[in-house]
Amino acid sequence: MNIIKKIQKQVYPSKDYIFHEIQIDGNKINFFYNEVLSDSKSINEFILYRLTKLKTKELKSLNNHLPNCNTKVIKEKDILSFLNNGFLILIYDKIYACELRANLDRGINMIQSELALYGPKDSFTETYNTNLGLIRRRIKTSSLKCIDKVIGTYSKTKIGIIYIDGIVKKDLVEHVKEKLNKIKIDGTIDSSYLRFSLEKNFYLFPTIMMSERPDKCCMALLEGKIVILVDTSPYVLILPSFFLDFFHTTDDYYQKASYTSFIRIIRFLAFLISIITPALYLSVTTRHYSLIPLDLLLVLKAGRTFVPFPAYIEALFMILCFEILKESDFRMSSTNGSAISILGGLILGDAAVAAGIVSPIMIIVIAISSIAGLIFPTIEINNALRSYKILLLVLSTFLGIYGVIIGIIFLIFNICTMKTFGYKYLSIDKNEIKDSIIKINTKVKKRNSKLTNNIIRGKYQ
Amino acid sequence: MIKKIVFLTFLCILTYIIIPIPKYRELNHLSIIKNITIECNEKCTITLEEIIPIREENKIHYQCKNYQLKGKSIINAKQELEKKNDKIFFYKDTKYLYTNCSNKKEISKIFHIPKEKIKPIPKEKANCNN
Repeated sequence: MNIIKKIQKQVYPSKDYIFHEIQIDGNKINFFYNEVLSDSKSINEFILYRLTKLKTKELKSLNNHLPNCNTKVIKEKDILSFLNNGFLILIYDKIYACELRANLDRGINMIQSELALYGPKDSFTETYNTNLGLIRRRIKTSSLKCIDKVIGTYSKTKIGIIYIDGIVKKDLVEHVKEKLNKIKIDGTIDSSYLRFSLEKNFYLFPTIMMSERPDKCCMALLEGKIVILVDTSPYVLILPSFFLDFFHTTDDYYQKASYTSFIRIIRFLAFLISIITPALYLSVTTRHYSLIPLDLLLVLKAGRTFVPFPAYIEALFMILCFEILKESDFRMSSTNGSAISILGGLILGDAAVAAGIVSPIMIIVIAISSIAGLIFPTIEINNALRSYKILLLVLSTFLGIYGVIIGIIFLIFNICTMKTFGYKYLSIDKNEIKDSIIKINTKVKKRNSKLTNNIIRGKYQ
Repeated sequence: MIKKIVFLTFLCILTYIIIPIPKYRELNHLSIIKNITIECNEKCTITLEEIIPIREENKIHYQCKNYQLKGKSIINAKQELEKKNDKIFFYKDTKYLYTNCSNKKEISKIFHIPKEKIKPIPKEKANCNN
């Protein structure tokens, strides 16, 4: 009785905690649950129905009569934790916790953000067990280890560190565990919270990849990387992630090597175009005219005839407009999104040129640069590209092509000096050189020697 | 880290030496000169023929504008002309430079135009349609 009062006091004034008492041949059984987190129908059908049919003798072995396989005898201090995880708490001679969670997930849906032409279409969900299941379904071995942790003083979010024993380096696992242990946070609502804690803040490029693709995760695990699952988040963290990993997609491994190589070169060009184009255009049209052929110079000049703003203001204005359009397109449903694209992209763009606010060439330059940035499947690299694009634009405004070169030197320096979990961010291992920018089919496939001691993946022919 | 920063600074300075930073000018303030005529009599008369592209719907039309100024010398006339009009005269793509002066070498230096482009003044001066 004392326990019940304590719990009632702790959960007061929330009304979603339901407390009941039933009597079986004069014996009192108390049970309580959270009606939002637990499935009331299952409680009625599988617990109450069975309990009311029990006799006094059978109450001595109550544990055997509770239907759910996940029924535990727990201690008093753990009651609230189990209660808030959707368990039914039953108090008789001992304290029992029966797992009767309500189905609060949306099921396994189609991938939304990392689309691929080939390969599986299922994606992670907000449920931890489902996500772990999606990985275990693909890697059916007991070597696939999962270390559970709870992070968040209030959220008590379940975290899983997943790796393949025998492939991953133990030091890396220990390093990740150590870093996670240091995190003191009130709540972990999404895996992004952990990413910010694990990553160095001053890096513009991401060193941890976020993915909602189970196949991508399994590929990473087989390469000797670690995956972190976070309950309530459909995105898992893959670490360590190197610079070239962001140029690879799952499609690369489902298609012919020649096509993959071509696409990767395109991605690399898109990376350069996205960063350099606006800055290069600005510096060439404001300081280094002699680099432009006369015919093109006349066309560029004709486009700017009626534009009242300086070219750098025009460029920043266009980047701002594109970012606003992109942001509003992300937040809207697909129906409204297409309307925004038409309104923003076609009507506003055309009207801006007709009104003489921006030159058509500037629209082309910013559009090419922004579209090139969208070629990457992960949003983090897109954000990094945007930052560098604006940095180079500012440098080119003040210093012309010299500024662009300074910016590129800074970019290369930054990428070269970056580290991800003790590994160099730009490092290309000799075993992976044939699967870096150009992909060549090899008879023996090897793993990154820095990530694992188990080098040979397998023989393909 | 100090080594890296020193190397980076050296690289920036080296690039600065190799690549000059020209003055910032908008394309609107750039006058693309198509032809130049220099008449050297008692005073030097410079006539610059600017080509102005104008965008109209889906076509680009070209117009011409002439700038003329007299000066004591060619350099003097050129400087006066540039001061008077708040524009940068762009000579790199000049087609011809017509002159009756004999010191072609000096003219070539002043306007950064190769000697081959310097011609004697014809009876009818070149115009935009050429």
